[in-house]
Amino acid sequence: MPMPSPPRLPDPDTARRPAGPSDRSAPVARALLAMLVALLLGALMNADSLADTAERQPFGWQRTAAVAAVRPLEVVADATRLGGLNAWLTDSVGGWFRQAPGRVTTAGSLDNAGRPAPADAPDEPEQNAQPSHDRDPGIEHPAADGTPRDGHPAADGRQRDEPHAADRTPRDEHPPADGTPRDEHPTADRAPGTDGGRPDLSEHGQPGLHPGLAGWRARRTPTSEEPLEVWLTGDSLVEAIGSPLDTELNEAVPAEVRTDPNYATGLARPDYFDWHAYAEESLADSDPDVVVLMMGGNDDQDIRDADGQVLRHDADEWQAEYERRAVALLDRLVTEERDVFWVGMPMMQDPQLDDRMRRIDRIYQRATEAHPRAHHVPTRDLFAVEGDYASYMEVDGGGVERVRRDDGLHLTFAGGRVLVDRRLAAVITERWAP
Amino acid sequence: MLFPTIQYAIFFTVVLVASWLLTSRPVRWKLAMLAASYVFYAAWDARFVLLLLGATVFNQVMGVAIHGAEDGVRRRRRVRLAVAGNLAILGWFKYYGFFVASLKNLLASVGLDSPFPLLEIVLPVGISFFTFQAISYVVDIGRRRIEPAPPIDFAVYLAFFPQLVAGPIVRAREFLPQLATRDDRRIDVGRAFGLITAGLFKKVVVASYLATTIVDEVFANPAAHSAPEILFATYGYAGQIYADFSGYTDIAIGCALLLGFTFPDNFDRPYTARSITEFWRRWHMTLSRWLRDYLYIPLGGNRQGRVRTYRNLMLTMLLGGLWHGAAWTFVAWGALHGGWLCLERWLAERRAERPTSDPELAPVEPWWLETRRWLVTFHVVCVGWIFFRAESFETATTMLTRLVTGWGAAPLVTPPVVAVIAGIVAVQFLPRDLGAALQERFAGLSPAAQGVALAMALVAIDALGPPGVAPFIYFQF
Repeated sequence: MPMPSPPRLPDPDTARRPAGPSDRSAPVARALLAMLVALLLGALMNADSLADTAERQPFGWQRTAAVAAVRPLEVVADATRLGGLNAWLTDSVGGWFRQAPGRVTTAGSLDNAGRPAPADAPDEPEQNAQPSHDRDPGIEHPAADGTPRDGHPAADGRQRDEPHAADRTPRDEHPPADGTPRDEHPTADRAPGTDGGRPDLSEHGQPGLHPGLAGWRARRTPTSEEPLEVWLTGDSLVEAIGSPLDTELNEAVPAEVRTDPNYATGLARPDYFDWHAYAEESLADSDPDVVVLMMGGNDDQDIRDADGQVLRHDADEWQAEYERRAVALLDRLVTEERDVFWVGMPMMQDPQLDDRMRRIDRIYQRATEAHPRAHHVPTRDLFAVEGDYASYMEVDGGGVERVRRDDGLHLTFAGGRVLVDRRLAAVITERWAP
Repeated sequence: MLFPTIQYAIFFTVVLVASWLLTSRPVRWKLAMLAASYVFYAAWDARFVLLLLGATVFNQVMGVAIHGAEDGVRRRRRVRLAVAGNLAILGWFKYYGFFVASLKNLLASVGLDSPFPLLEIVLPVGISFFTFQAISYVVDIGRRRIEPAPPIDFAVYLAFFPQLVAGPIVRAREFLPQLATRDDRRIDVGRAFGLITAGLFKKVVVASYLATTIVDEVFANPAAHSAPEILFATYGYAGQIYADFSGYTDIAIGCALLLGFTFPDNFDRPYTARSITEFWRRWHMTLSRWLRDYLYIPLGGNRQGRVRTYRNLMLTMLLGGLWHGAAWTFVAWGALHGGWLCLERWLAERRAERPTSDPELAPVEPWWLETRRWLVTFHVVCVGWIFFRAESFETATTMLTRLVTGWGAAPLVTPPVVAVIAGIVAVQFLPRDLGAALQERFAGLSPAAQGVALAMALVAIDALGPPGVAPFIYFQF
């Protein structure tokens, strides 16, 4: 069968449209009218989606204004049922189109991502919560519409009509997954006399393991038939770690790393993505030996506590609530047979953002201290040269490479390799290598 | 402020109303467009509005100085100075870190230290595009093709928001005459809305779907994926980058049309190409012709012998690759295209030297030969995309190695993924008239009916696409 023949090839220099109006031309007022009709009708027909977008904004006056502007559209759309077509398309064609393939681990989040906060939630005070450091977007899909910056928002293709995970799962009130009070974890599997052979991490200034775990060892020895199962999850920050972690771990121990980024998520907005529910549901389907967590870049925003009170990101109450969420997440992840490594936030290019990330990092550190099998893996020192943020640095094997992306937040793959080679792989293999 | 967002919809509606109201007042119209463009740019980073303003002043001053040069020698000197100034700005913001790191590594390999410190420099969005437009302005003045525009006209040209951050690269001599004689009382609504709708669909639905279902995951960790997954992730990226970038320029051209400007086309169904030469006449056409007119021809083009022609081709493509990003993977991408262009040229020259090479007498190629040429071209382009998308040579080589060695199950290669990839390639073989016919029918509708049709399209795009919008790939360039 012959190839369809394209028309004569245009020269790029002449490939332009005639400058004057064509027969199809119309007065600009007509175009404007058509556009206004389209936007108004489109807004009504997409009112639910617009409401989602508005409610995903960081708490503050912009969100308040957006939510207030969208609410009348929702009322009219409900009354006229104009939203029906969008809902039908989303449920039928959209659902099929968005269906994630079997191994895309973000598929799990289809059912878990939360809907926006309920309409009757108390209005937040007007606060300047929108971070001032939103920078040029990079290829790693920082958010464009006011949603958190670190990834394609809802790149998981979540379905809007799923019930809010938080509605199903009381947030932050779960007991530890193993049913054991936090401070009463058994230490029965502590292997005596196994302190030797631990890599000396003191050169990095901070240990990777929980102080009380110096002698702990893995309960089983991974083999090529039953490799070490590692669930690497978090926000878009984990993208750069997956490949080097897979490579590096397999040098020491048979390992299978499942990289599972949930873009633009964090602990600040369970109304958008409920990490606690997601962790529970993911662990209901799998039982990894090791969980590696890395998130936080989206969490420098105000949060709403269980009473509906909006807490400013620089308030003490914010820190207390955030820590409660971090501890609650670890409650769900840690068991007596599973290690959780919480990778801390690296230094940020923007000083204001860096201050907030440092506070968040301290919270992660405190949260891990509450769990004997949870370990904080500090990274601030790894990506600093003479104490300052560095986009480029000398990497193992020689040479200077770019370790941070243009956004001043994410790691490049070379940066991911630095994190893995210099710290993360060591703290994992120290516990799991035979 | 990205095109497929409600913020941009509101912004553009306000701008279009202002444009309409100020049609008969050209100076106010220009001031309004300039203000709108700076607001648009400031939405990314307000600091860089000053950079844009500085580039405007510098190039306008240089344009006037070039035009006022009394003889050719002075004119050329001033053109060189202007071009050097623009390249210095671009080099500082975009390439300083890359070159210093590369120099450090080179010197370190021979035991020397680099005298240049590594600095933290933030890359302004769109700098590659407006710098190239500025260069076209001063060079064209030097070539006596245009005269310096009034300052406000040049400022509007350089900052005009539809093409400011990712093109198309519109030349001053295309834009400025339209600015002088602008008449937006009648516009081609069918084409304008057709482009905007198609661009939104390509970006929000197709590009996002391919990125999130297969491309990002495979490129993030190719070692964990099988050969079929890597193959389809590569095809998927070919589809994604086409949908993403052509979607952006469709929206840009459509918005410009509504404001009364006709921009050059930027894509002409590139995946129908049956040679790399043809591919570059169909892909990012405004960059191709910029490179041809302001780099390849000044280097000597094909008029200085065979060897220098090959050299010029390679240099043009290497620098074209580097333009896309400050990384050696982009240089490799340019080298692949440059090398293949040289090969095609060499083969064409060999064919021309044969005694029976008269094209009139050449037999018509059988369909299978054409299909083979298409297949080869498409796969060369896809190999290039691996280097373009991969963050490092390590990732690229892992992709290529796994393509051969990694045969196994492919859970990411689902029927919808295959269908979307096949679809984005197949639509390029549809007759061009098809779109024109649809636009014709749309233009014949009443404004209310047009509005309803557009609203339906918005609903479909919203329902099929994921919530939120990822930035366009070409913003980073």
